[in-house]
Amino acid sequence: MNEKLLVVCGTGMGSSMILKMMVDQVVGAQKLPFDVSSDLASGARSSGADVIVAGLDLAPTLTNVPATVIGIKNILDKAEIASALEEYLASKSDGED
Amino acid sequence: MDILKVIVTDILGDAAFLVGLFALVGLVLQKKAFPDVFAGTVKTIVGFLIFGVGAAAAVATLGNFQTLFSEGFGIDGVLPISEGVTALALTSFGTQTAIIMVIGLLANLLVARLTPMKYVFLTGQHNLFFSAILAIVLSASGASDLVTVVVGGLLLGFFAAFFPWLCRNAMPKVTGTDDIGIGHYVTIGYAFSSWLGGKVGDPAKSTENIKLPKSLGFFRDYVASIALTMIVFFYIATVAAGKGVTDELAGGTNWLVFPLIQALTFAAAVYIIITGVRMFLGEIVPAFLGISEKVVPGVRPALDCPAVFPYAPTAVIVGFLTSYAAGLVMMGLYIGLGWTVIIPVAIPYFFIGGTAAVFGNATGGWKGAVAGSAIVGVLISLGPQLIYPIMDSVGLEGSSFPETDFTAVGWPLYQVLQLGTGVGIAITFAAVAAIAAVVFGIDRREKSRRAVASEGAAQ
Repeated sequence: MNEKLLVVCGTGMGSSMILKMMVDQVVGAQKLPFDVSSDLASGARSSGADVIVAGLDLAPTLTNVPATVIGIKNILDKAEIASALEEYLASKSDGED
Repeated sequence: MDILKVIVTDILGDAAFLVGLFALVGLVLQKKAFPDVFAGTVKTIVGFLIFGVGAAAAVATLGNFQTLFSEGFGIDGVLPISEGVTALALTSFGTQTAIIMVIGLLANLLVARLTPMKYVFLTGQHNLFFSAILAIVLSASGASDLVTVVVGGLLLGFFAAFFPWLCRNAMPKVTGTDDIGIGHYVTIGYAFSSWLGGKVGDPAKSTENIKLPKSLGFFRDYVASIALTMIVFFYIATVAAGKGVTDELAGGTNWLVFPLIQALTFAAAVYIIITGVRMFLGEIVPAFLGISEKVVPGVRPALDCPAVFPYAPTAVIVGFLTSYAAGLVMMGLYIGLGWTVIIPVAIPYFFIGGTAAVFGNATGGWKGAVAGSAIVGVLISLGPQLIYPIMDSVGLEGSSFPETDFTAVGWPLYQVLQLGTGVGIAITFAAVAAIAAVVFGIDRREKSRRAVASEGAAQ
């Protein structure tokens, strides 16, 4: 089962769309187990996502969201996105052991 | 030839089908599989149709607000929010706007390829807003539809590369790299904020050393933030107008409950509009980036403003508060002067004021952030004031565009077109050619300066 990954920004129109494209590329290239979609931050709580990816400024404000929240500093930096996602997957498999 | 008439006027004349057709062609050219082509085309059309639904809801509440405000205060009140005014514009100028956007995206690639302005503007909603204001200004000046879409498209393409170029030096001071640009049409404000920051402050005394209450981050929640602004100003207008006027509009609803429902309906309308935008852009933006990487060597993507927020999150809040205060001062000034009252809606002030502060902070610390966002707060109140008469003249009442770059292009364009369409367009293209010449000149100077600097470093 793939994890549900939601990319959010303030309006859901601009930077989340670019960040989603970058996450898509990382997920596609490394064959990571994520289904990726995007929305505005107002919709994060009701999304049912397992993991939420947002800008580093927005991420700390998503406090009452029942998901792991990942903040990205440079939304075009695929290496940063890749290491954040790998870290998330590693921490998850640790929890299951 | 009834079938031809159906195709030309009912299908191609419908903005939603037209953008769907462009999406279809784009998807086929990318050699996508049939399910992707179908889903992409349908989503583009449905996204565009969703605008219309949101626009209808927004128009009704904006109309009620206008009535209450003008009855209560004897002057017009305008709520500048680009999502709203664009949705209104699409009901009258949808086809022109859609074609301008398509020509504009292609022209952007051409300009980025041929000039030193290597930016492709990836903030789709801002290109849509820009297309709408160009369609409004050209159509309001009596230009034919053909002239409107060709001139509008070429102008959009040029300025989509030019405005991020304007911030070519300011942007690396924020992000530390020069491979991305700012794709948000307030670049005049941001470049000014960056310059001003360097004059007034010290980047070492950063906003990021300040602790602010976390609850202020509330304003970045789009729905909550719009709802709060609208509730406050709807109640002010309702109380000023009084029970009699409100009862006439409310149709049986209690007059003190009516503004609450209206304010929240407006928030719902804007939410519908941005949902439509997202669906509509979901196919276009990735395709645009993919094509640009192929046809423009050394391309720099120009990104929406929240891309800079992680570099100074506290500055964003400082900038919102400062620019919003400036917006309230300007509102007081308009009331005093008896002008159309530009009411500060929180959302543009959050994103624009916040970004201005990030640029100001990068060159001048907290002083730069405050100074830059205060000036930009004034500019995004003056801009809609200047162009509101143009909106009003084509029946788009109650809203306007806050972004500085829209005013900087739209207002002079409207003025020169009053001299006659032919003369106006000739002057406009002469001005664009002059700007391009200056860009080439500056680029040559900057390149030779960099060459000298790197030679000096090598020795």
